[in-house]
Amino acid sequence: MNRALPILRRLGTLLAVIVLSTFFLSCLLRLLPTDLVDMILTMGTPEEKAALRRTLYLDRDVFTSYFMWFKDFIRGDMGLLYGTGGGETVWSHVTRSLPISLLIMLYTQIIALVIAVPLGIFTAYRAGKKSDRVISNTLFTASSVPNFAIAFLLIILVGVKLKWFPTLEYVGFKDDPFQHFKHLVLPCVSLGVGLAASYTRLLRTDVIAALKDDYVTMAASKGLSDSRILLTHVFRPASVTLLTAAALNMGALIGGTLVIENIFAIPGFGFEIAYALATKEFVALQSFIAITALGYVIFNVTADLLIGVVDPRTRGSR
Amino acid sequence: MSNNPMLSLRNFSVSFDTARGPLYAVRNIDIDVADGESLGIVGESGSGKTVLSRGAMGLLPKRAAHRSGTVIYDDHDLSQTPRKELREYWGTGMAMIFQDPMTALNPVRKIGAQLTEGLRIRLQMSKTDANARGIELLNRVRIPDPAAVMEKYPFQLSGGMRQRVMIAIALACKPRLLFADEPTTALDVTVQAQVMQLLSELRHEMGMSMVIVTHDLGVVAGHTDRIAVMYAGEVVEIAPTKQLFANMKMPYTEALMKSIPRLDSPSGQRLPVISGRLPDPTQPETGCSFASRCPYVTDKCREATPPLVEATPGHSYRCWFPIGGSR
Repeated sequence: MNRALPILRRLGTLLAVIVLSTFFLSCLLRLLPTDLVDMILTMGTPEEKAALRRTLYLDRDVFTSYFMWFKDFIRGDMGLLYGTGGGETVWSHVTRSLPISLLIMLYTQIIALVIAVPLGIFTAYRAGKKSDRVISNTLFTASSVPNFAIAFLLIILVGVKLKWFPTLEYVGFKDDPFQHFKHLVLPCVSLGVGLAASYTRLLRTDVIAALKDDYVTMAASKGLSDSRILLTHVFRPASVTLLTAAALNMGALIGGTLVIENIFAIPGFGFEIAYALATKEFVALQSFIAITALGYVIFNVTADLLIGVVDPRTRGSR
Repeated sequence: MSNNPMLSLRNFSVSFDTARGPLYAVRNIDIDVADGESLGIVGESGSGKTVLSRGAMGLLPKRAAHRSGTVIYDDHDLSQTPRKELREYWGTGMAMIFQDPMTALNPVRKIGAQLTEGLRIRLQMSKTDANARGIELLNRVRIPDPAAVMEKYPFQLSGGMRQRVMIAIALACKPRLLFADEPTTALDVTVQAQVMQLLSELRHEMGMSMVIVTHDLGVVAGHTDRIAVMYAGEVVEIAPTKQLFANMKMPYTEALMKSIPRLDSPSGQRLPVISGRLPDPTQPETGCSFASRCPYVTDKCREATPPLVEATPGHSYRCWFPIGGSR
């Protein structure tokens, strides 16, 4: 009971966040300067327009229409992409594009963490020495370059000049695993470099602080090696901030994929959002953004649960 | 086993670099700890007693702390030994109990993991053996239900329990010399007595030497063979425990003694305090370091530094005008 309660409370807040954010979104649709129905059916007859108005629940009041939309949304009925003549459902686009973006985000996180964890621990261990200063300053420089700039740099150098990696399009893992990874190297590295830099700095700060703690001296007095102390005694308590940042950055990565997917012509979720924005697919956009909000909340909760695993003191109090 | 002392410090000093120049936390210490002996090191906060014990063991960060003089442990001179080789002595030869059991145990690792770590890595025990030995150790420091405690995290235990766990960790690899740095300061008075009693028993059982560092003369009174009183980084008086209590020579020792609360003193009476504060350790002193706070100070005390002289065999002090005369 006392274990389940915080989780239930957590789920309650989660639901509230999703409902509130999507509700404001649906209000925005009504605040559009032109009528949504007129926009979609520019040439439509009054009867057709009235029918569409009913489908989009725009004939009801704000609250009813929101709850009707929300009910459909949960069932996966997200309406149609009207620009294509109403032939394609939003849901089909979501199921096609979302896994691609989630994979890109996952790979990016893996790349960033694989770079950041050893570097963060190493620079903290050598804090103030030359090797730390060189690495820290390099990373600081890297983190101040926007990811699309890194992407263009990589495209020109590694893609066009050296021809090591393809610079366009996406290949599914099932179609060709090797080509799949090869195509995703440049996009994920472009996204991951900045992240790796900020993760390294977070971890370095926390490891330096943890190294000053009594329990580290205590561990040393047992006669353990420095590497063992760093890995088993320091890294875990020092990784809480990193973990939170990594989970929160999943949200920020959604924005990152939007830019990167467009540069590398990858038909992911970010690409879909950009496309929907450009072609004024507001019905689809509403669902896309609702999914983004949902993802953000889910990553946050995951972070909290993970922190509970890493730091047992926080269990039940969060 | 040789007749040489277990630990022998000669002309031992530790200094730190500060913005105002070198800070001498410990100066020219000569101390021996005999095999099986229990030595108390007593002094107020900032007198250098923690730096002395950590410095002797070699636990101070190398970059910040400069050691000089010699440290001879079990006939090995460890003063120049690199940290990598010093580790061979830590845990199995010398071990340390830290002051604050709230911060000295890793908050995110289970008691069992922290307790058996030394056994597994230093003594190459198997996981099962180390676990069995861990439970045995917890039993020995009188922790009820040791098997369950192995699975707990430090924050789930009381302060006294944590201090017992720390003692068990320090003793896990059967060290021959145990440093106990303020082992009872963070504990309730009733628990303090229990923990000291436990430490004494374990010392006799295991035939260890022990150095107890404390600011409280009352804590070490019944548990040490000898006591060294430290002031401003120096040993100002050292004597067998009984001798020190019966026949102290140094006014600082007397002042420390008077500041122990007594049950038979009238209620409401103010406890005597030692007024003033420790001299600035970055400024070289002339004269006796205690001169500015000493009730019996004379001009001579301010001008000339008193050397450590022997009153009776084994009892030395640093004072021009010792209590009870002589000199």
